[in-house]
Amino acid sequence: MGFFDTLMGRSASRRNPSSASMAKQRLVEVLVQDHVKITPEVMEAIRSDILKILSRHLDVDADQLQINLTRTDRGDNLVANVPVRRGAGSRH
Amino acid sequence: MGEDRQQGTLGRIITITSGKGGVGKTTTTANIGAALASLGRSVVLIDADIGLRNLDIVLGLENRIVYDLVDVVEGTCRLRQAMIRDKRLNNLYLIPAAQTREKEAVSPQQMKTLCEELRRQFDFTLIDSPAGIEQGFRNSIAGADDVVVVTNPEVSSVRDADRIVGLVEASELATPKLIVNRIDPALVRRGDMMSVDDVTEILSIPLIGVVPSDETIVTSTNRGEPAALDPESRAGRAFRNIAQRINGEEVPFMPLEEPDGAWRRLLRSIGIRSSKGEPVRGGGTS
Repeated sequence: MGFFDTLMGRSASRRNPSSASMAKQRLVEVLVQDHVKITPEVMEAIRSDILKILSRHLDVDADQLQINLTRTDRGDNLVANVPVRRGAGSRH
Repeated sequence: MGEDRQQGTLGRIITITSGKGGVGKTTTTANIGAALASLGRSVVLIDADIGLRNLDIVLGLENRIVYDLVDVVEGTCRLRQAMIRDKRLNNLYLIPAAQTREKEAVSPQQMKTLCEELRRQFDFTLIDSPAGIEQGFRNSIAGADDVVVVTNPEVSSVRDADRIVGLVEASELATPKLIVNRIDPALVRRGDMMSVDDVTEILSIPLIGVVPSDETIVTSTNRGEPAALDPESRAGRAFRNIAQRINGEEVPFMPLEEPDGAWRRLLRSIGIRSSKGEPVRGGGTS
């Protein structure tokens, strides 16, 4: 694999994301924050409010909640990824 | 100076800026200026980095300075007394920065007035902006028609470039053009450097040039001779291409790689180094 990758000009390791793609990802995130100007405190408040509201209806996994600002061609988006524990939705 | 300008036609004012320091603004200004002058256009370069004068030494003109930008705007000397003619190109001039003054010694309005005067005399006025987003930067874009943002394919300079793009757009100038400087094709291929496409996608402004990382920039700066005048220099060729685009010509983007395709990489991977594959650079003659 090393030989073929060298020939094709690829990195020897494909298991980890390349440092260039990490750079790009980190930049996109930080630029969205620069544009939207959300402070870490506000972000934390959003996070706890989302948890509070969703917890009324669902059994959500607070530790796994991910909130990201992302950039798409249609503008900047706030994306929340909320893992729901098994059996959720049958609490009524 | 500029006597050959046709009556009634006005030159363009272009500011070269970056936000972050050390990405190659001054080298870019010197090289695009030299390349435009060698295309036969009349060019004046302004070093707007007051207090940190550098464009003079990159051009090899450091021993010829009598008056500077602050002297011009304060009226200590006449405009043409502060213009230093280049050693090699008789249609290229430099207005050096003051070395012992503050950025506040010049106001945006004074820069505007100066630019209006220069556009009557020269086809192109290139302004080398200082790093940062404070008064020095605001001075340098005050009289500009166009802004060129220089960045390296690296997180901090791209972030700062994005900030500059926002400030330029907020000041009601046209969307700036992008130069990606010091790209290393081998690192990009290995996935260890953002590609030109990555950078343009993030900044989403039009690309006007890509300059490969090239040691001839080091040697030419050591000598005080712009690499754009060296036909052997790849970075010099990239700067000449940018100058042609600024001059209104359609020039395709040059291949970034040395003539070094899969075949040479194959040879290298099994331990054979072809002598032709070695870039011959930094030798005694150039």
